[in-house]
Amino acid sequence: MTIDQGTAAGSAPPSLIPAHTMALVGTRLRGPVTAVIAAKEAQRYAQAVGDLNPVYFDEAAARSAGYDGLVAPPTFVQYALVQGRPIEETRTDGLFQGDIPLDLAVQRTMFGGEEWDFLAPVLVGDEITAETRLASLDQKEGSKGSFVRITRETTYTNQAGDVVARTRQIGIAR
Amino acid sequence: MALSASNVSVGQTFEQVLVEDLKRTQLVMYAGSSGDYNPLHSDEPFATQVAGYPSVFAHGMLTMGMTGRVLTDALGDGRLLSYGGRFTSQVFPGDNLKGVATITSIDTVDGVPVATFSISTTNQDGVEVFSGEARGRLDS
Repeated sequence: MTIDQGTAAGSAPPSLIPAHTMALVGTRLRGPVTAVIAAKEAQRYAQAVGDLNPVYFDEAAARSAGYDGLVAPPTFVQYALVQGRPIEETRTDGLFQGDIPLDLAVQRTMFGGEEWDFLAPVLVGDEITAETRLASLDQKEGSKGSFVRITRETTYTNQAGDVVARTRQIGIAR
Repeated sequence: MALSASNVSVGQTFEQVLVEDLKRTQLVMYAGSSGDYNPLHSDEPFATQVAGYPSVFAHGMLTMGMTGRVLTDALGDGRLLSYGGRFTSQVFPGDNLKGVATITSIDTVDGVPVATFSISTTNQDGVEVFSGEARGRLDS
């Protein structure tokens, strides 16, 4: 990993964001990726977060609640789109599995937070397409030194062309 | 079980115990179901000796997912409009977590009553581990 230290005036901290990485802001980092929502996967996720709502498990309960079939838990859709990778390709540091890696002068990226907009239900059997863009990169100065706030925005669209959800994921790289 | 605009008010709170004595097994369940295999959440020697944490710790989105149940149980199915937040402290095996959602405002959006909630998840020491906001549709 290389970084242009520049000739910052005064005591301005060196940039952690190389110009070629900053140039990626606004561009697509991942996708489009398409996957079909599978009942067993959605149910395993619901069990892992301890949310045992019958609309995820019992088709009759889902139909009597007004859905056309089993429902996926609210934030599951993003994991339905995670591509399996062999262990040799599994990264050891961050959460994000972007196809385009972000070259930053940092040791580690941690997950800082996430915001969701839920626009339509996601049902088992739906075919969901996701696309992720790099929304912003901001260098900040915190009590533990400089860090980069990475915001990735993902749009999820179903087979009818309806946007079902949007997320903004915040990564903290230092 | 949906909330109705006529029987909720600003300041009303909804509270749930999210987990007691969080098990490492649940972290592994979450890793497997999410596809997030970061070893900070499953590999104790990596988390402690390489990364310098006291032990493995929970995925942020596990805490957020567990906390979401406070909202979906209160609002009823299909009524959550937005949900977001920040992870303010790590969650470790053995922790007990409690989630509290408080109605901060009730507005009418396109003729539909919408409640805004502030959300706080705390551990057994009262330390906030997740803080967020959400909006949900109410029945008229």
